[in-house]
Amino acid sequence: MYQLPLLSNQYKRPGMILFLLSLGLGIIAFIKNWEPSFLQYDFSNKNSEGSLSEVFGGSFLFTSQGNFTDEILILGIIIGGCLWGFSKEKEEDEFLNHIRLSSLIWAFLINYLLIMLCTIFIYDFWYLNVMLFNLITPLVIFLIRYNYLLIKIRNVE
Amino acid sequence: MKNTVKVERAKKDLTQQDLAVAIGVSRQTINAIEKNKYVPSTKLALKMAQVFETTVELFFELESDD
Repeated sequence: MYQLPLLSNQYKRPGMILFLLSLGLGIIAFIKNWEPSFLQYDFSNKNSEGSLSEVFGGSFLFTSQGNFTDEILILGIIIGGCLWGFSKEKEEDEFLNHIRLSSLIWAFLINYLLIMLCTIFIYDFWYLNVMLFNLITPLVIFLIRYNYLLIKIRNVE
Repeated sequence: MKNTVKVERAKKDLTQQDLAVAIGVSRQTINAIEKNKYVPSTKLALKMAQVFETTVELFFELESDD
């Protein structure tokens, strides 16, 4: 029987915790512009003319100062979400594979529907936020749909 | 496609859980099959036939729109 390439069940819970924690903090960070000072970095060297950072204009790959909060949270959401969504259940079988795949198609389509609506109705600076959210919406929609279906099939008698 | 898995299961006096364990799936999968919400793979159908000691055609049947 063909089985989807999935991670072992032990990654499921840590993934869920990491995902929810990162997503919660991410929402707070986005709304309140929260950037803890211990994640601040400044690699700029005033005497280094022609440094890599300068060559690239300080914006691509080699930025010299800023804050790591957003990087850490986005990585946390993606890694946590993938571990949560793509680890085996305790009783993984072909029916669950089927539910997983149908949730993926669902997430893909809903995601593009949202992008189309946002493209039509949102402009200028705000469109950058759409692109920011779009980094995680496919994963988030997939997780919502998949877990909803899981709860639904587990509650039938 | 329709099926009479529930009837075959009753004949053998098996619960959904018993059948699930026998063919290595979850109870929810058996439930979904019985309610016609999921069509199992050939492999799973053959395993069920082994448990019921019969042939697949006896409890799976094509419908006119299949």
